[in-house]
Amino acid sequence: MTGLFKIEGHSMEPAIKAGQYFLVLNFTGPKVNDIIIVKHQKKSIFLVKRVKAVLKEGKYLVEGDNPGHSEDSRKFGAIKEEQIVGKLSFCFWPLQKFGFVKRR
Amino acid sequence: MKIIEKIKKLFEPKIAYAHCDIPCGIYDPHLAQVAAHTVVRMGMLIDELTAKMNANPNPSVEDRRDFVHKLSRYTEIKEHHAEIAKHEVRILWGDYFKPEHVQKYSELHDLVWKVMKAGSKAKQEANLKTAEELLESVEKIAEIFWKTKNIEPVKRKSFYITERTLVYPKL
Repeated sequence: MTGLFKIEGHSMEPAIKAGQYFLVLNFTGPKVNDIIIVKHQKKSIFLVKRVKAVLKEGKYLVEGDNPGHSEDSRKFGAIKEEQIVGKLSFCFWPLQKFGFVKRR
Repeated sequence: MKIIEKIKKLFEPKIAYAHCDIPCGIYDPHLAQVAAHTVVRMGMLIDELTAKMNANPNPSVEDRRDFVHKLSRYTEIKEHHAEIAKHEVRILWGDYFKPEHVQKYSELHDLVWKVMKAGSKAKQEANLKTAEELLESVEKIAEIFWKTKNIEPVKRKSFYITERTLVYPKL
């Protein structure tokens, strides 16, 4: 288990909304379309992004679902595998969204 | 106690940001003012339309249809632009204004609150006075905005058909 995360902001809407709580796991390498938690390259904060492409040498392109409200690989380029905390696996709050996160 | 704290910490969620944290830095109170002017204009048009209908003792089916049609259009635009005014002020309030601005202009929170209330009331009612209250609070926020940029705000008559004022930066 990697941890519990609360989402703030709107860059992943409509798939993920602000205020949702998730269990984040890191058992397997992320695949395209997985929603992942990423450590920011410079700041000590976490970002939530969707994997757009898996590149060679453990690098990934990530984007927000809502590009107008997202800072992502279009700005900071590919991210490294060690920046990935894990995959959004299970939503446990709010109860209407309770369940496993489906990859689209 | 320590064990409880440890368990609590284990289950304490971290924050993951889904933010636009560029930030763009493009802010201007003009859009909120234009939206508030539009709400005022729709109030004027609704008043004119109602007066015209009241002056007609025997409106035909076409007259009534025309009245309902125009009233619907004016109301739709009024609602839409009242929401734009609220939205634009929310952006200034949430993204632009900083604690030091609030410290200097202590009326800022109250003005934002007034815009939210007047904006909602302007949607609920077909009332020119409410639209004017919305515009008045938006203008006061515009004045504070330019002052925070050390630019003198100038309030003068707009070139719009509303014949109300607008706050401009004195450049």
